[in-house]
Amino acid sequence: MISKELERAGIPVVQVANMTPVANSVGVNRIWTSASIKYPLGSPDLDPEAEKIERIRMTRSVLEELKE
Amino acid sequence: MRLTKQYIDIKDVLFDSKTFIEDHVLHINKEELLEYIDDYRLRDVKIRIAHPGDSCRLSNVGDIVQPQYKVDGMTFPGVVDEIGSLGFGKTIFLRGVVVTEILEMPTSIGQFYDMTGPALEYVDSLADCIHVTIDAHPTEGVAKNDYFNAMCIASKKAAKYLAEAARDSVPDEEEEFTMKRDNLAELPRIAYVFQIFCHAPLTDSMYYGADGSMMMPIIIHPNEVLDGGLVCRNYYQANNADPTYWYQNHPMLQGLLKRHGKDINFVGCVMSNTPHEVKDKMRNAMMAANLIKHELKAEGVIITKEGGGHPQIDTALICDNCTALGVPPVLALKEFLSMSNASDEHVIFSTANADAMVSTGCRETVLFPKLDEVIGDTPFNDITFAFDIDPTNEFFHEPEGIRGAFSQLGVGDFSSEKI
Repeated sequence: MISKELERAGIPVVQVANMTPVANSVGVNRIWTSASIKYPLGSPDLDPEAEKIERIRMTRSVLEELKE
Repeated sequence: MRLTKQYIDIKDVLFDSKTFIEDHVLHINKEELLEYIDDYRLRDVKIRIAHPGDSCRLSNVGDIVQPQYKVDGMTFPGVVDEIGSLGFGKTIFLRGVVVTEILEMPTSIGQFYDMTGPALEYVDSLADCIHVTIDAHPTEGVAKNDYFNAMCIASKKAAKYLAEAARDSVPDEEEEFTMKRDNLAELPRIAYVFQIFCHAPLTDSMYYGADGSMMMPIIIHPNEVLDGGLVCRNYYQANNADPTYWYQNHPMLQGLLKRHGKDINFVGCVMSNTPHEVKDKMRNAMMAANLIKHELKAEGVIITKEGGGHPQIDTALICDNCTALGVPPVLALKEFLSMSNASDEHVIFSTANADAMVSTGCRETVLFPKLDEVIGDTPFNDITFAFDIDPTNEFFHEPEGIRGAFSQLGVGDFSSEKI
């Protein structure tokens, strides 16, 4: 709902969400599927250093989506 | 598979030098019980008794479990006893008494239980039960999950210990649970999806002691759940999960078994969990629908859920998958977005396939009065208002905060309007 209102105001939005069926049914334009409900950009299986690199990669990928 | 539940009615509970049952009074040897449930992870364990009608509040409540003892097998296999099959033979259940955990470590969303006042309107048959409470602090250095695990085991052990006292008693009532296989050809084939709220360790239920958060959908015999096979281990979001008491007295399973052979052919139950990744949800929904269509050969399916928002997606996906395979679903759902929400839609999903939904109630705010006594030293917190609630005073809260209330399995007669 927030995504839709922001876009109505002319601000492009990427919604980072794991419950993509909900985002879809609300009608969000750009959905980026996150890792999990419990940790959207986290990877608890990785060691902290590798997880940091993975987080940066994910964030870049979200920003790329915004350019679409 | 034929299960006989032997009920022993308990009218009063008191402490004594010996544990036994006489004239519907349960006498408990406290020292012996404490020794039986002893665990290195628990310290300062206190056993207390709270009666319905007492001006008493139980603060920060964990699981509530009905005392049960399997005469010819394992009791709570995988949790208390060794692994052994459930769902047949004789099991003793004490009626009118429950074992209730009092947690002395804060959880994410706290729960309480009042022995009197408006809370009792929301808990159906639990309202008449005497509570034997187990109140314990964690031993120094014990991590939260280890403490919660220890509490989960302690209450089940106590439940076994108390019901074992009735092994020579004459039952007040016997009830048989079975699924006959003959003369069913004319009846509609109805399956049931029992969606349990499991998405992480300690935010799950245990089936024969196994962590439910990692499971895939399986076909179970309803008797296994009614016989103590499923145990609640939800300590972080217990407000949306049912205590073990409602698994032992599962209203939907009992209802379907009663109608089996009369107006429906209850072909079986698929148990499925609620993973925290959408990919896992899609896989589980597909597998559950396949079991319903191809193994149970159902012509119609009933789906219930536990948990809050994201488990509704599992429900919706199972609904879509079943419809695609030609099995029409009926959903029984709480109206989760019904309070303080301008939206007309009371669930978070949207699918044209969910064209038969039954409401099992909505949300509201109730004033819970100040009570004379509080069992438990730890206040419980509230997710809606995000602060600790002082259990010694009156407070506003949703009935969702009462342990055993707000069940999504069809407990009581709640609907959009209270009937």
